[in-house]
Amino acid sequence: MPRDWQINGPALVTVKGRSDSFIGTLSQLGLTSEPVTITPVFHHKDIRLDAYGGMDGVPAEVQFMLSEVRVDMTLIHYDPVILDVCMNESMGGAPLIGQMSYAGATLGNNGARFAPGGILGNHYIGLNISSPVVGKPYRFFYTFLTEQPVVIPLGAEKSMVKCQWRCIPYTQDPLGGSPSQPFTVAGSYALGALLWDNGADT
Amino acid sequence: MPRSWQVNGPVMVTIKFGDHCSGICNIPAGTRYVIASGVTQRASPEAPLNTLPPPSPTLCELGITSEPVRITPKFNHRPVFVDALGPDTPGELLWNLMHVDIRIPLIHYDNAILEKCLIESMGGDGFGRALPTFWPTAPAGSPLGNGLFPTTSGNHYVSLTLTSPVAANPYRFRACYMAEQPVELPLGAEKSVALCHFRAIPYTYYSRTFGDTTSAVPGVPNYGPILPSSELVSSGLPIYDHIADT
Repeated sequence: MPRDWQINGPALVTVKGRSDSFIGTLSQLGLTSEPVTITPVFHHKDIRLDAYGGMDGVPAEVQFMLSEVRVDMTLIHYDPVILDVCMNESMGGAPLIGQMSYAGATLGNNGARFAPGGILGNHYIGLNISSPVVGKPYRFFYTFLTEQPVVIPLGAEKSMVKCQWRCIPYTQDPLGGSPSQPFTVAGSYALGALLWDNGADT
Repeated sequence: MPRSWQVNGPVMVTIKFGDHCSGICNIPAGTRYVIASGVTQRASPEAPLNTLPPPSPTLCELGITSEPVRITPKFNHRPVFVDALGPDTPGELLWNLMHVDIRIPLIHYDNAILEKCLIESMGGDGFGRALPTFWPTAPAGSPLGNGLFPTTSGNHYVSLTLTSPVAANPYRFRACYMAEQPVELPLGAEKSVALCHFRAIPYTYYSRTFGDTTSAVPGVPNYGPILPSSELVSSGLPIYDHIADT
């Protein structure tokens, strides 16, 4: 593929979540005021040895310890109900908006992607970012709003909401091969687990 | 074998109980094990099911660890002192066998299998309940092996396997029990990481004799049947090998 200006085009953010939630079908979250920022975070572990300077030297080899992705966006033309549901799911999927689940609640609950079950369903959200110009959309399979998930200014002027998403390689079974990670093989652990692809949820 | 970085890979701890525990297996139906590059591992659902026979009904997956499993052999040497060499330095050492301590921090595990390991290490559930609702103990002085071959019915030692998907060098300890402080179990809002302590010993069954063969020819060593009352012999006892249980 020859090099070229890389222009994604205006990004529409859509989400899809637990099938018995308000975002059980593909829902438009909104349009952004600035570019959506996708930041992969790679985890590597150094292997150090005395011959290479020990802890003060440099590693002679590194081991890949999986990765995650941060997605930051500022929504300006958005559906606040959908945003509320995304926040609720990221808080463990309690019944009411603004309500928390119990401390220690898992988001996946050993369920397949979009598995129903109310508070015991799978609360990870499929995050889709469209790409009308270059035609390379991003689909992050297992995301949730994290840390300071949203910053919502309320006032006379329009509200532009900053959102912080985190995408991890969730799986039903860390041994691999479960339906929620179709590209893994039983017994191969994280080998083949998908963080994102260039498709889109439907 | 050239030297290299020694990377075992993520460990799955499997347990094989005695045949009296045949109703406990938690391996999903249809699972098969294949040997790929010398490593015994679960086959993918798409693999031909006739690759290997079904796993043993007493084979269970105990769980996956949060940190490396620690294998610590403990050698026993008895010094022989002679006056000519003084009281502090032995002139000879006697090898007095060994045991192996295995410390496993489990994070994604089957709690029922862990409890069964504890019960077997306490002498087994002698009352025959399939799923005891509390931790029964056998009477004081109960032997764990009962003079039986490992993994036969009535032998309460468990066979513990640590898989090795990268290095293809699994460890199997044929006669294990949970020892001393067998488990440290934190209970709280956060996930529980169970710190387990297994110990492997060079267990042997009573009927074994030196050479362990019989001969029907008079005059040839070991002529005659193996007597059940033969004494224990420690020569050649295995404590671990590199063949995973299936």
